Amino acid sequence: MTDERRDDEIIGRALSRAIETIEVNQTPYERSRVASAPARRSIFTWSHLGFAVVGILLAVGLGSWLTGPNESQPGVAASPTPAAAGSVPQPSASAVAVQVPNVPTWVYFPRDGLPPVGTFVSARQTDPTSRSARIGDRISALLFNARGQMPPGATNPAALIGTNAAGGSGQSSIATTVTTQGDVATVEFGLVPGWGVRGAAQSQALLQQLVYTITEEPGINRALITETGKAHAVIDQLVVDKPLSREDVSGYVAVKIGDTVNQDGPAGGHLSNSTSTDKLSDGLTRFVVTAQSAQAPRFWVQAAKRDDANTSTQSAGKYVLSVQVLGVEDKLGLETFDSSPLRGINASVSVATSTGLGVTTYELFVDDLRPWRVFTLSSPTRIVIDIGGAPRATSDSVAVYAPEAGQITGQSVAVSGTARAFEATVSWRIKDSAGRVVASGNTTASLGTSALWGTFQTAATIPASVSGNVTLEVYWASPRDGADMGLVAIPLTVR
Amino acid sequence: MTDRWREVYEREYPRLVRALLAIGRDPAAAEDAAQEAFVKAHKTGLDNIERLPGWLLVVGTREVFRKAKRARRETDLWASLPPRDDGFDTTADRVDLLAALGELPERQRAVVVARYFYGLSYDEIGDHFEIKSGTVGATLHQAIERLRQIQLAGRLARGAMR
Repeated sequence: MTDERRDDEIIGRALSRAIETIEVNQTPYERSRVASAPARRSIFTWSHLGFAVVGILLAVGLGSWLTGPNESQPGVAASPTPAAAGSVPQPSASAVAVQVPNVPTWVYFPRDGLPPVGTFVSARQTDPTSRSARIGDRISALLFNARGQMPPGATNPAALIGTNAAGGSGQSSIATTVTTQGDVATVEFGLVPGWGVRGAAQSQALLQQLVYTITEEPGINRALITETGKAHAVIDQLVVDKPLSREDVSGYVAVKIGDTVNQDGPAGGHLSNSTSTDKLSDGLTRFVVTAQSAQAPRFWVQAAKRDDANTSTQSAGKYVLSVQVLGVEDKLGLETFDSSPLRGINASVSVATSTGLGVTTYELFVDDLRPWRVFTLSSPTRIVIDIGGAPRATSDSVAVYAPEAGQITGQSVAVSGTARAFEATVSWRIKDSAGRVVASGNTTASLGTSALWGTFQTAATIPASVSGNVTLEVYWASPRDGADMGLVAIPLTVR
Repeated sequence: MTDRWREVYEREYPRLVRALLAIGRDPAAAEDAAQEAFVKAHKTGLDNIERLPGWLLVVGTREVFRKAKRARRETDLWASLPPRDDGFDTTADRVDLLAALGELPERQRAVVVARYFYGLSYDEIGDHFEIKSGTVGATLHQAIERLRQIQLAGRLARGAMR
């Protein structure tokens, strides 16, 4: 030991003895706070969180993140209805203190270029009766339990929290404190050494993951994320300083609430319904009602906010898409799904007083208000409601289902999707890596500007001289000034 | 479970309050922070915490600093120290040392207490207090050097008054 070090030790030890002699007020255990029921909840752990997360390239405009609409829900909601109820596994029988059972816990994971995906992971449940504890448990599940339980294609940036941004090594600690007021949950993170994420894409993915997971709590619509001692959080360079809703961070264009589609038609006879998610196109959820009539039956669709804490229907979901169809569905009642964004469908039948005919109401309970569209198909007669899609391929009037971003194509690309375009004319163009237009064309959708969307499919041909990275843009021209409307841009690789 | 907590509380509480008092210089804030640290530990569960003493110190320190920022109160705590005749450091020395500690920046105070009063390793300190590994030693040395200077100044001042 050097002289310098020894001198330091001497002073240090003297200081230690000095501290030892400080007279302190010895609160006896019986009167300590820990002996009585604590008022706040927090989680905290030491663990090795050093593994890397694969690159997340969620392409989201930063501007829209913090400016989305926030509707406030007055009052504190009552008795929540967790989706996991009823499937609680037995805790292992052991005499050791602090028994915490593992239960299916619904959390979200971001995906590259797609909306986040929700799923159950098996995680600790500390206090199922406390709202703050339930929110804290979902965050704990992300931080400590999600490994090995993630859906394919998903990432878990939350597992990086508490690692150092240089790549993560050694011990870390994370303390969270959850408080709720009205429909806002505030989660304060005590971070050592930091958020662990790097770059705009990863930061936004983490923010999205936290906001979706925190607002899973019934009655909670917005999440405020703060760091200990501050009124805000800075995730790498992303400043978060107000409560955010799922719509603020979903990556989709904003959707007006209350949009209604109302279509006249005959009675549909017997109806049946089916759903699919991520099957036709990544991120796309499709709900189909099949009718017996030759033409699409009379129907009506509207999106509305749902008070998920105060509802008689045992399903999660912050919004409801109500679909009324003139006709009678065979399969009635509630069906819940372990999928996102569609969490459940409730089908019920009533009799229209004016005609005496049966009307079926389908309530589609969804995670958030993301773009949706309705169109009809024939033989068999179907009403199709498409929800979401890849955010960068989805605008307020164009949704491209194929090709998908990043796809490798030849000189001919099949382009398909739905649009609500002036005179049903859908335009496309292909730009090379320098931004030059190398090919372009038009196609006609099945319908033009109406409440219903039209479907289109065409083939885009790329000149043989072009290869490598290109961008496919799909849009329609404004009748007023020819401006690009509803433009979506999809990166492709030509081989 | 209660007995386990009682045991932990009775073992760790006095040490934690002393450390937080040395770091924050406010008896009420130190007690409050120590109580809060135990509540947080309870919520987390003993089984989820490795090396509880350091854990409590970090959580408690954070609480102390947070409270200190809300209301800065200066108390003349150190004058009330009891005399201890061990022939090595006099009461005056100890008072000087603790007063000198109070002159250091918050971060340095916490690091010094963690090292010498809690005996945490450099690695543990680096992780807990967000200091780049490798600079913990330098931070400590800087803090002690400053302590030495302040203490020396106090001693000289006292000598001059005698």
